[in-house]
This record gives sequence, C-alpha cells and structure tokens, in this order.
Amino acid sequence: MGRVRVAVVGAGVVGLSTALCIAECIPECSVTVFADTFSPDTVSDGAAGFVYVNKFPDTPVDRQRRWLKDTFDHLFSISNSSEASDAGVYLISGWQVFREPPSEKRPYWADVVLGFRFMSDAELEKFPQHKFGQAFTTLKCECPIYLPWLEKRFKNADGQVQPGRVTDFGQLCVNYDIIVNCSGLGSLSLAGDMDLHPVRGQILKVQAPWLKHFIRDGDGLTYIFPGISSVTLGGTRQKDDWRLTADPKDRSDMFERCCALEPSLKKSQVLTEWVGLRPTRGGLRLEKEMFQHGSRQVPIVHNYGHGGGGICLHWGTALEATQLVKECIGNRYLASNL
Amino acid sequence: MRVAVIGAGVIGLSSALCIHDRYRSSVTPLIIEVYADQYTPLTISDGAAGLWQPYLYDKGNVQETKWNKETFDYLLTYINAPDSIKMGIFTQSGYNLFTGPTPDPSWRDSVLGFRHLTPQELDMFPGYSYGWFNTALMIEGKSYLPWLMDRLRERGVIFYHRKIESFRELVDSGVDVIVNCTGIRAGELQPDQDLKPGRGQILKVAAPWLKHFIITHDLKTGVYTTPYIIPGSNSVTIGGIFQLGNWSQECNSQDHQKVWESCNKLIPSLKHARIVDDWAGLRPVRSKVRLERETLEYGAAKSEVIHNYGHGGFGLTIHWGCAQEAANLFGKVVEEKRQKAKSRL
Repeated sequence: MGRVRVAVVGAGVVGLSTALCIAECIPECSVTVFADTFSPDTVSDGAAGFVYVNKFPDTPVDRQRRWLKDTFDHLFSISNSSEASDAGVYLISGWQVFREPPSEKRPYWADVVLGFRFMSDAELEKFPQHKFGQAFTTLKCECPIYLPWLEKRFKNADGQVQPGRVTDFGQLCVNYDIIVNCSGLGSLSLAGDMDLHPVRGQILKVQAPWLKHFIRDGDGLTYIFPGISSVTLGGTRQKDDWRLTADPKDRSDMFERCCALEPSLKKSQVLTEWVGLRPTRGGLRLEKEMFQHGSRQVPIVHNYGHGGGGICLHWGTALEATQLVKECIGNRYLASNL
Repeated sequence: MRVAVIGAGVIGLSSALCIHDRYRSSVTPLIIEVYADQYTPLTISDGAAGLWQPYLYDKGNVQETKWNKETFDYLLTYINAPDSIKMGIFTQSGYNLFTGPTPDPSWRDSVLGFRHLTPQELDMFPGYSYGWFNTALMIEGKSYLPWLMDRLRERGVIFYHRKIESFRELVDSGVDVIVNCTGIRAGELQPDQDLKPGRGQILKVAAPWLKHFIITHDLKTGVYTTPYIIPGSNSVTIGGIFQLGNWSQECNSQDHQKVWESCNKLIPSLKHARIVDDWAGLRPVRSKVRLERETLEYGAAKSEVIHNYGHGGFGLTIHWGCAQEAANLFGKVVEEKRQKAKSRL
C-alpha cells in the first residue's frame, strides 16, 4: 500500500501535538505540518497554559473529561521526569475562589486534578470578598517552551514542517492522502464554519517571583497564574471581538481586579501584555469528513474549536484524532481491496 | 533604662523590636542598643531557606509549639499588607514525605489546609509511601532582617558593629538589661554544654519551574538529614545535611555531592538547574530553646540578662513567639525595679 501521506494544518498546541501523535503512533504515516504561524507567535504561546477547563455546552461531559484526563496524565508524567523544564511543564497548586458558592461545588474534573478539596475558613480569610473556594494542584504547560519541544520530538519521528498559508484544502489534496485540520480560528474560512467565533482574551505578564500559587476567580474573568519567568494576569472574555491590540482600559481593569485578589501584585513590575483570540464553538469539532476534490475524495479529520481549552485538552484530542486517522487508513485499505 | 541586645540575627532584631514596641511608652527613657559583629546579609538567618516549619514533634516542649504558632499567626496578618514583599513574606504550599505512616505533627493546626497525600500524589515520589500537603509561609531572612532594622532605626535603636567579649563589659558600662541572642556562639559568653552546632550545607539553584517545597524525612537519622527542596523568591534552596558537633562553616564537596545527587533523585528536572551558590551554616542546636532570665552580679554592678538562644533550625519559624516571651520577661524586670524603687521610698 505504501506510505500514507498526512498533512496537518496548524502549528499551535493542537496541530503540533496531533502531528506528533500520528507520527509516533502510526508508523506508515509521513506527516507534514503546514502553518503560517509558528511558536512563539501562535495563540497557544500567549496563553498561561493553566490546565483547567470550562465546559463546552455542546460536547458530552464524559468525552471532555476523557480529553482532560488524557492530557493531564501525559503532562503529569512529563512534569515528573527530567524533561520537565525542557518541556515547560510543571505542577502548580492554588485556589479557585467564588464570591457566592457555585451550584456545582464539585466539578466533573475534581478527580482528574490532584488533592481537590474545599477551602477551609482559615484559607478563605485571605479572600475577604469570597465565600467559597476550591483548593487543588494541577499542571502548567508553557507553550513558548512546549511547542519547540514538541516540534523537536516531531522531527525526530521524521515529521516535516512546511511554512506557508493553506487557503483551501484543495491545495493539499494532490499530494496528501489524509488532511488533519487543526487550524483553530482559521477554520472559519478554511472549513466555512460559521459556528466558530473568537472570544478575545487580553493578559498582562508581570514580574512577581514570590508568587507560587494560582488564584482564579470562579467567574473566569480574573486569574493569576505564576509561570517560570513571569506571572500571567488576566483577563477578558469578549465574544466576537477581533481586536488584536491591547486595550488600556482592559489592562487597568484587570490589574485592579488581580490586585484585589493578591495585594502584593501592587509591587510587581509589568513586563508585557498580549491579546489572543480563543477559537470558540458550541462544541469542540473532532470528527471525520470526506472532502470532494474533483473526482477524488480525501478524508479530513477536523480537530479545532478548543476555545480557551487548547492546552488542557490537546493531548486527549490528539489521541482521538489519531484514532480517526487510523480509521481513515483502515477504510482506505477496505476501499482499495474491494 | 538601657537595654543591650547582643546578636543581630532574626532573634536579636525581633526581640529588640518587641521590647521597644511594648515598653516605649511606659519606660522612659528606653534606650535600646544592638551589638553584633555580623549583620544581614551575613547572619545564619540570612542563609536559611526561610520556610516556616517546626520540627515534627515538640517532645513535650509545648511552649515551643505555642511560640511557633504565634509566629505563624503573626506573619499571616502581614500576608495582604503593602509591606509583605519588603518583609520577604509569602505563602507556599508543599509536601512532607515519609517512608511509612507517621503521626500528624504538632503544627498541623497552625498551617493552612493540612491534609494527607493521595495515592496519585505519592506516585510522584517513588520510595515514599506516606505524606502530607499543606500551605505554609516563607519568611526570607535577606528581606526580613533589613526590614526589621529599618523599623528599629525608625525607633531610634542604635546599632554597634562590634563583638561583645563578656557580659561584664556591658554590665560595667551601665547597661540595665542584656538580651542575649548570640545563637551558636552563646557559649563564648557563658559556657553551655547543651548548645552544639548542627552544621548544614545547602545549594542555591535556578529552577523557577518549581513551585512547591518538598521535605523528605527519615525518623531514624533525624531532621534535615534527608533531601529537601525549598523554592524561594529568587532561587531554590536544596539541602539535607545535619552534622551535630561539626563547627566548620566551609562548604565541602562531599556534602555538595550528597545534596545534589539526592535532590536530583527526588526531582529529576533539577538536572537542568544551574547552581548559583553554596553555603554552610551552623544551626544553634539545644535540647530546648533557652529563654529565661538570669541576674548577673559583678561586685556592686548588677544586670539582668534575658537569654534567648538555641533555636536550632527553626529560628525564623519561632522568632516572634520567643520575642514576645522575651518582652514578657523584660516586663517582669521593669516591674521588679518599680517595686524596689517604691519600697525604698
């Protein structure tokens, strides 16, 4: 049958991890990544990399939980290895605090993270505006370090990288047998997906090396995520907002909200700010589709629409996408043997 | 009244502050002088990692458990204060690891969120089958001591850079109360068979991806003899040396290797951490903290001494509780002098 040529579109955390998964798990595949943007300029790079996810309203909870667990397990083993700092993956503990107790006190991911429990009254004293809290330990995965690490592993598995923008799946149909679409917001034009929309997030990076815990407000708007060389403060969730430049009003507002949660931030030095557009959809699109190109039919595995959960779900969706690619190859054998 | 504090580590400076705080209005004039040949950043308090954590069990020294708790509660009140970073205070969570089930420590209710480790967490640490997780406080001497000195300077406390050779020297000069916070060198002023050095050697490494303290324990070999990793605001302290009776303050390569190898085994990613510094210090070890009064008489000259030394490896952890007790003892001295003055009238 010969080698199966796979083209992966997108080199963010979803594209690179999916490409790597396919290259490592399916030996007969030759994988090439196509993208116009690479680390450190992808949306994944700006994200804090905090492994925590909001629910996708249109995706079954157990499917989301499996993606999260697969990703958590994968990152957890990296964090315990000697490669942790090479990959930018490490453990972090902290608190999620709520002004009013939420309806769901124990979320579906409580047993995926480590040591989940409710905060004690003594712990809540540090947050006078908040009445309820969850304490747990999770992982952080910093893409400016992780993506180059993934790419290196990918190239070691004979993966190829091709810079350049893909404007039409048809461009790839001549030379590739299977297309894997990890183009994030790019699928708006590439796949004509009108369900996809940006949710704008603006963040600040500050110098505050004494901060060791994450603090997240349950409303999802205010968060403090200590990183390796800076602390990420956020944020905003502005639906259908395409502005890629930082808004000074958003900046001062989020800084104030973060200082209210962690007063020592007032002493921190601001380093940079950044804006990213979360590629959001009602449900994450992870499925096969047959693409008609002239007389040929080329299978496409879609893996996009991760919203703000790209990093925390990436490995789980990469594994599932790889499974779908295997199915495509299986069907091909079947078709060619008829 | 003239008060001379000997020693400018965390014990000396905090004792001076506490006494001044409590008695500046009721004792006038109150002249406080600090005498030391080592000031920050050269004291033992500066070299310590700065994690608030007492020894596991107080062995009946319930006073010490009380002083430890008082210190934690006191530092916690500053955690949201504007000065917290200047003071070198911040929270940090982490792991205490054991090779078998271990009774809960005397400080379990002092720290925040104390719990036992889950099986999944223990999977991270091969060789350890039991452990605890809690949120504690960091108090970094290199920031805290300068902050204490600023507070003392504001209050007119005078600092003398000189070694005191004998209590008599101070008594003869007319000092009313001596507060003896001389740590490991207390024996030079008054022999103390119970005071011994507990030598420690640490490495400071650059490993900013580490966000938790990790302390291993071997109840047979004793405290600080097995690896520990304590991230700070600037670097990560790694250690695991405790040599009772060793007076050497020089770093040696054997201890360096032991610490480096054992900590790498515990946390493999340390392999990529750049070593930034080596340091050795002598913990002032004693069966219990010496915190008590003594009257010294040299002919006609008389002085009260308040001893406050022998805090082992938990000086920063216990300092405020002890400073308050030292101030209590000072208060008794003041009271006795008043009674005496009254009875003479």
